[in-house]
Amino acid sequence: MVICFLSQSGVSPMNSTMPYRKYRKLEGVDLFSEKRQDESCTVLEDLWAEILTQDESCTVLEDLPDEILTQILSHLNLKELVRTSVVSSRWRDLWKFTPVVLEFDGCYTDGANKDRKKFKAWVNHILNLHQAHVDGFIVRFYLDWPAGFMDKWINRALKKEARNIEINLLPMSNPAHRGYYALPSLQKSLHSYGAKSAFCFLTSLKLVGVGIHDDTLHYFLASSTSLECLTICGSRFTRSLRIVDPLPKLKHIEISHCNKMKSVEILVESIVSFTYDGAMINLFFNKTPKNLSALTLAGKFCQSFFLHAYKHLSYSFQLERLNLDFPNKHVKRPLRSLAFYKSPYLPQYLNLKCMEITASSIVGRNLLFCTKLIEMCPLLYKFRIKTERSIFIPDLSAAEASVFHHENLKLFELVGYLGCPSEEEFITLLLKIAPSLMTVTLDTENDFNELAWQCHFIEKKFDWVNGSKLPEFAYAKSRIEAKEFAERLQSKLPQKTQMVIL
Amino acid sequence: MATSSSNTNKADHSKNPPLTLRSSDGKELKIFRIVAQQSSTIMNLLDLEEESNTDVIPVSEVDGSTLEKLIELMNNHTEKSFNYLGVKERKKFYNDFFANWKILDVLNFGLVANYLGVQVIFDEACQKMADMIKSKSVEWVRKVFEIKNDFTPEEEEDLKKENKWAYERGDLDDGDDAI
Repeated sequence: MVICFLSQSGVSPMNSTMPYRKYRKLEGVDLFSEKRQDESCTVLEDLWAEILTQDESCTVLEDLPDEILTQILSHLNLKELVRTSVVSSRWRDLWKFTPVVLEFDGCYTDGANKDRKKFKAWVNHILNLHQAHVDGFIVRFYLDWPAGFMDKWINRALKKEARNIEINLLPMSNPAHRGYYALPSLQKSLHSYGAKSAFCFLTSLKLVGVGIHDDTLHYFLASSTSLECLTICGSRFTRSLRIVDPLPKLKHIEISHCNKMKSVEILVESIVSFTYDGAMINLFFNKTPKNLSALTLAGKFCQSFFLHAYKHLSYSFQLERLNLDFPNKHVKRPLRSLAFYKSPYLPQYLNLKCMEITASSIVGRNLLFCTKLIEMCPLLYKFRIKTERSIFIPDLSAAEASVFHHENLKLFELVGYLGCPSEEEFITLLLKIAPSLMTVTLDTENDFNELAWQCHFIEKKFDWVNGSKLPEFAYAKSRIEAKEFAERLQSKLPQKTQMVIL
Repeated sequence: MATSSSNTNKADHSKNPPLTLRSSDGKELKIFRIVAQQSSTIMNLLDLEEESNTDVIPVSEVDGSTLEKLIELMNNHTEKSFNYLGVKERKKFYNDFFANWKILDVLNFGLVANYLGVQVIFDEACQKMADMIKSKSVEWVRKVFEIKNDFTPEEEEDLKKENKWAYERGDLDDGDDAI
């Protein structure tokens, strides 16, 4: 191992305009081998003393210009960064110029809120001390009163050219709860930033529980030409969203729980993924966004995707990846209508290669309706089901399940495997339908405590839906047991099908 | 899809012969032009020297082994499969690359990447160094980087008190302070 230094050079490195020391090699000095670190510190100190007396100009970090040092430190989090201020007098104020991500978490990891006053004082303190640009500004705390100081914080974040801004005022809560804060109206914004201001530094904007009016949002979009990710969650004012060029880098959009939302128009070419969770809206994409490959739908909109597929055809035909999050117990009426399955006019999604479904399913409920979904996608390569144990996906009997031939399905993944006979039934049917199936992955991750608690209520729920008694069957009560069930199932599979048990 | 991309790569290689970089200890390393595009320094040098017969670029400030590792990493970056890696996979890739490196070697490597203008690799080296520093004590940082502590004990205490919120272990994700 050698210690080297970079030399001065005519071509200046991009991160510094200052020349720095010439490279020298210290041969034969192996200071940092594992062996030495195990020995006492005094040996290390002796070695350092030796080198220092030999040649004084062997410092490394001290010779680095501030720009490079702050680049390194910018990867630390805020607390770690401030702790470095005691290293030496040079470092005392270095943190104030480091383009770090200012992340202020007002909640503990268990969801409890930190002291509100202290939190506000802390954020103000840091914002006053830190003087240079920041890489990001993230604030997460539960705000249950309309707060003027949020305006100031957002103002500071924008002045400091934060590339990633996240304001999450409803952490750990259901975003459908009412948010109390709203971004200032357009007139105030124009006054703060000027009509021609450009937030060209902004690459990611995430607002959770922040009310934002349509014109303010469009103003921000028009001014943020480098925007890559946009997330609007729980905004009670947004009615219609129109995303137009120039936004050449906008790749990911997520809109959820905006109760007044009526329409979303996405007229940019670069979009790669779009997530929507909420009620039915008019969703309109540009003619053919070539890069749109991942679409995630949840809530009532997802329900509509199946019941009224014709309303979604403008964009659904070109999808390659589709994630569907079926509405769960917060929806009043479960998706029960069987008429959908019997319809001969179901759309075919000819480009769909990967489908992932998150559905709440009662223990033991059969999964046969998923065969219908697979039938709709002749080019499907991967199909993944993640079941969350609460209530209802529609029930099909074995006789009603589709029998067809699928040529392309290669990967099947089931998250939440419990060893129920219905799961085995589905997998067996799947193997018949899709002889091309190569890998079956069973992930046994489950909330087993929740499941045990629900055991008391399962019978009653089943009665309500089916009007009959739930037959007795065995299922795993722990992860280890689930894996055992999976191994037993594995022995029943044909040899060429590989099984992965997680 | 995969086969067509490798075909175009092969076609490019035959049209553009690789450049040669000569390190400080005389080692000559080949680098394809596509890969070299990641280095703004090399691109600038090529613009300055317009004659195409000088395909050997002396990089006399960098030693051979570091240059070789850097070129290897740049080659990895140009492979199409690399661009499709998810965030976690990229992290794992860099963790594996920098596994068992000593921090001054990472610094050295990062400075070379900076010198050659390869921003992405410089950022990753900075990230690795930050990861190595974050769990260490102040004394460790001073020793390893040979920084003189020019605070008096009182000054140091005062400074710590001023920023005492940074020493609170309020969050579960606070790293280990001391060694």
